[in-house]
Amino acid sequence: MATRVKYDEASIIEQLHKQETCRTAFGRVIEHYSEQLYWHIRRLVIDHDDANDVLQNTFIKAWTNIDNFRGDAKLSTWLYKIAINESITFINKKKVQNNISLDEDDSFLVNSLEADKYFDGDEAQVKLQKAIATLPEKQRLVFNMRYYDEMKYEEMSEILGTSVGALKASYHHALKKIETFFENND
Amino acid sequence: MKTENSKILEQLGKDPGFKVPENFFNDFNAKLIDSLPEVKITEEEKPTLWVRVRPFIYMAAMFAGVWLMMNIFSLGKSSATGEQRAANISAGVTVEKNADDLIDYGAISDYDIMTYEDSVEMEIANDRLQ
Repeated sequence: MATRVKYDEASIIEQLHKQETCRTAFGRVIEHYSEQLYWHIRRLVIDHDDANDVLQNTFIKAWTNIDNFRGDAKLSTWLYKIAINESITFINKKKVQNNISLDEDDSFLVNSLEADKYFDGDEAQVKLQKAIATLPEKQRLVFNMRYYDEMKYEEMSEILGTSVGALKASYHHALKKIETFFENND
Repeated sequence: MKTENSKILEQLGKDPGFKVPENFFNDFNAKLIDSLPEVKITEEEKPTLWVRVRPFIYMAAMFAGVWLMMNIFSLGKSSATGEQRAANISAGVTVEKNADDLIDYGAISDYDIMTYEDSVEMEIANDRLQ
């Protein structure tokens, strides 16, 4: 029976900087982070196939830039940053493909949610996803990271490059907007 | 978290209803690891012992240099004084010259000179009387 080696980030980072061990170490990184990054991306792009593509792009980008990662920040922070950038780039490309202005919100992503075979939520959950999709980009990110990932504001601050105070304010605004959305769409 | 979330969210819970195909993450990981392109890693060279101690050795050498220069300078100065002394002796420098030097460099005050002159005069007068 194969024994599972404990994930030790410091040793993984060390191995990532050596030619002979970097591939195996990055394999461990993929195994460790793929699921949490997938759910983060999925909540942004909504569709499973799109999330799959964006997750793949995220890891490929991280791998091809692994030489630039010096270990100053946490690996998770670096991967989250890449995942967010890749997701936003993907959504913007999709907007252009669908002739939607880049200034418009992302609610078009939720239109086909009920038909998605990898979604089994009820009406209220579809409504919540619609409400989240109407939020401005930053508020949407903050809401997802805080509400679903239960991420600490300090960690979010490192990923998004925004102060803790501003993030708390963003989350508060997001909550108010979601409540208003539910009140107006009863 | 409970206090900062609204009642609506508390009723809905945290499962957004998203699903993935069976065994998705295992398949994804295996496929992705196999398809990773080749990358070139610039390995950081471990500094050699010489590179690590070099700054300290340079600093020690600098201090040693300064100390050596100071020593050479002061030795040169003291030997010059010795030579000067020898030259003075061989040239027959008088006691008056040395006295003038003492006066010039402030080692003897005017009062000392006056007292000395008085005592000399007294001695001469005494000699004459005898």
